[in-house]
Amino acid sequence: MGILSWIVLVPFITAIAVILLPNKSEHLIKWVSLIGSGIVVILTTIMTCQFWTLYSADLEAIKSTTSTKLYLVERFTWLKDFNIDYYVGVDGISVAMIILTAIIIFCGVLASWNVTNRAKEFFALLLILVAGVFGVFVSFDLFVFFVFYEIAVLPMYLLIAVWGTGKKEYSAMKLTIMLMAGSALLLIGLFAVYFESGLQTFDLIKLGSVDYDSALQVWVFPVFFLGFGVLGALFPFHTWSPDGHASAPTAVSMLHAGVLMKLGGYGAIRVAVYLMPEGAKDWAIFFMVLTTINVIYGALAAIKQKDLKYFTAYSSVSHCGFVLFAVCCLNLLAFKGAVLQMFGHGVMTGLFFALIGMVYGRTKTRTLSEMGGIAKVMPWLATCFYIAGLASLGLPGMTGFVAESHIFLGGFFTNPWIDPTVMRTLTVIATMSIVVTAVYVLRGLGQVFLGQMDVAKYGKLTDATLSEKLATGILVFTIISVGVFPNYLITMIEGPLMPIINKLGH
Amino acid sequence: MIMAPEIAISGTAFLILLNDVFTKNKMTNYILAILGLAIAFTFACGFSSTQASMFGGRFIIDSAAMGFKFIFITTAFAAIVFANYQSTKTQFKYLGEFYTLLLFSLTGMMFLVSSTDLITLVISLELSTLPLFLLSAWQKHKMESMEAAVKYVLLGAFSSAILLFGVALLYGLTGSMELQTISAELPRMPLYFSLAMIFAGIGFKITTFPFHQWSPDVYENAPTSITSFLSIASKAAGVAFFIKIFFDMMGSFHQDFQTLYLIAAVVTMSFGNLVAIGQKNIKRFMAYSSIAHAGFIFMGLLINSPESKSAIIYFFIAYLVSNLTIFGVISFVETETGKTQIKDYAGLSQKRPLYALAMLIALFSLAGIPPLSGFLGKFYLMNIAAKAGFYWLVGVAAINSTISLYYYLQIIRQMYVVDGEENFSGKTPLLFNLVVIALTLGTVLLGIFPIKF
Repeated sequence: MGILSWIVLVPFITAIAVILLPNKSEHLIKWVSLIGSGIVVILTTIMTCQFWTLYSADLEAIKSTTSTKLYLVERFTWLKDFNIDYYVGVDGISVAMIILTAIIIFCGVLASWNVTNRAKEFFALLLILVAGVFGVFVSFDLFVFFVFYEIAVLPMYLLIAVWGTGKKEYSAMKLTIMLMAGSALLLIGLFAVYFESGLQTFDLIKLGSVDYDSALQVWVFPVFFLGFGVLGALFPFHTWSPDGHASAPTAVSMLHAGVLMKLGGYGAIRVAVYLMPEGAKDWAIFFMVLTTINVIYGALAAIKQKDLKYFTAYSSVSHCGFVLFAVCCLNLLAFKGAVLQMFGHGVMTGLFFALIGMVYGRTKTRTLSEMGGIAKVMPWLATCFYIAGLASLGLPGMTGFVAESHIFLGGFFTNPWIDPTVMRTLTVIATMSIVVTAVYVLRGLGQVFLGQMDVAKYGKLTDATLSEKLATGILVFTIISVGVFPNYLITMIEGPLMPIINKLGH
Repeated sequence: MIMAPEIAISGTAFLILLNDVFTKNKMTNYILAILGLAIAFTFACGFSSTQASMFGGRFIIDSAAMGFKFIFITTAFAAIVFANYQSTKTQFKYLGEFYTLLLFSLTGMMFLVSSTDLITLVISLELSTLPLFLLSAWQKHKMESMEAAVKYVLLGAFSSAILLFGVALLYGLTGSMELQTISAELPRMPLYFSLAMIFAGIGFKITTFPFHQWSPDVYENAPTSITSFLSIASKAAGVAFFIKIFFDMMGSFHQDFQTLYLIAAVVTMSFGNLVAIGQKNIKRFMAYSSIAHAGFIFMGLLINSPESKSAIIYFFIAYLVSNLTIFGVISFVETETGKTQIKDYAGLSQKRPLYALAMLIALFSLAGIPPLSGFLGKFYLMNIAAKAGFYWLVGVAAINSTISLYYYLQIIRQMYVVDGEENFSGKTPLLFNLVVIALTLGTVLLGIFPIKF
């Protein structure tokens, strides 16, 4: 069994180990989960090194092909009558996403150190969710992809409904039903490509080598894009996101906004655009308009929010809108921006939600106006919050800037298939969201951390504990290092994006 | 000796009847029933991939027939285990006759899948249905139980009459009872008329809309073990009958009825799903879920091929393990607390985590969540529909699965999210626990390693 299967299995085995532990030993449960996540981080590092050695040798050759080259492939026959194989492998995009997930789950477990109520089930569900996410990022057989996709969504219901806050049951149900409806759409698309390709297979690479009929692409592309878009918070199917993120417990929000929503963008590039390039060209303008609305609406809505978690949730809607916007731009620069934004925003939002959890745990309130000046008592948390905020508004030196500059330049450079004026107008509108983001970030953070502090209420609060410092420190380090030195990441993702661009070009 | 399973089962039935008269210890009936079924299952395993016939071709077995037989025997086994468990704590008299009748019904179903002519088919169908009328009325002290049983008998008799009329017409028009001979006479319009009557008659067993009206009342008020037997074995017997007539007999003219199957699929699925949303009683809820699943089965009937039969049998196997797990937990809660409302499941996950987990897995399987067997069953059926070119039907089925997730989550919510006062602290027999565990494992493993017939 190769390293990729181990990366998927280790969280799952840790979850089972946690389930088998006795209920009362919360300390042991947390440490087992942390060790499990730690092992995943180590395996990811090994895998990245192995990948990099193989990939950098192939770099030039990849750029001129139309079929994706996979590394560290494992393939076992599973359901023979459907030609379904357990087919896993990685390319640069997958590796970037796996690194993101590994970092987020490790920091997520650290940030959940205070969970005491039914801790066993909480950590078990969290780990099963993460196993599903890893599975999505490594699968190249669409059936296996779909199976892991569902495993990644399903534990959310229990995680939010049991351990959440606020309108947790309503949010949990809304989130689960909407995301499952999205995957129902995906299932239709899956059957369509299975039969219409003439190949009767779910192997993504083989399916990608077929030129589909235009009449088919016209309806299958939006089915795929919408199916993935629901998870990527595409307007107007984003409504599960604010309630879901706000009601979820800290680690769940971190994982969800940080990683799960990226499954939508990942699927859009990997499946929707890769398999249906003609359909993508037909529908690009329509979805570009929707995603522009996403970006602006999310930002404007964030200004209005009084609750810190809803504020971050709408900010996520806006930033995930960038990812899908970039996918609709259909050129290399924008695609690179999309993947960079997926990675960067994942870390940023992970940091945001972790910090919110820590602040909420201390102040017991999420209302912005009730807090104020607490930077005096929590300097570490305030600094990290500001770093996250500045990264999300695209300050150079952090990942947000790298990603957004790619996306906006890509939008401006246009592509041969969409009316350039329309595309540039939409890009300009989307760019203006930076200003709106600056408004809500600076204003919101200012309300919470600066100004007068109510000494009676907040004077006794403590700053971050060791585990919290570790979690936030890792995330801040990632944000800044990728922001200052993004080259490795960009090289890693450029290669696998070329085949998709070449397919579009045909 | 390909009739060995049937002989084992009917022999056990008679043995239990005699034993009940002569012994004082009623446990022996249970042991006989379990052993008899285990022996029958073992015999059946020996024939699982043979193709043979007896009595000059009147009794046949092939892999599809054996698949159905395994389904029937397993369901009966679980039903008997559940019934015995319930009888240890609640009022459950005349257990000997109960097992006997159940085994007779099972015998009828076994003969049904092996028949090749109309008379044997009809007699087997009646043999499998009549004991169920009695069994569903077992709890004499409950008024609703009697009412439901009367509805069942009346509607059942009525549907049997229509079915028989259709069969009689077939005989009258073609002069033969043999399915082979009749299929040579197709396609003649009057024959289609009689086939429509047969569809109406058998729709009662399969609980398609609009022939499903009996099932909510009967499922709610019959003993839980009988409800589980009805929801799986009775439905499977109906589908087996359906396959014999509409697949095997009609051959390539099967396509003429395709529109009917499409309508049946869409309407039954959607109706079952939508009405299930408001249900408060869990057994009634399972009835509507069962109706929705009957709608799914029609997706698999769109193409006449061995692949469809294989898909339908696998769907039933997946449905069997998931449904029986749920009914196992239902019988546990019903025996412990005497209550069957969904809100009575509150707090189950804290007090009996393993049962709650089994219920969770089985409910997700029914909702069609991978990698559980329920998903694979629905996937196989959707594959048939997509192969026939009906992508929109795949869409309808997928949306219906999502809707069904909503109401299954309501039960999960009661078990995991809501706190309850019930203690659920009774002891359960070893075999009962083993059966529930085996079924849960089956739900998970069959989704990854499917069994194909």
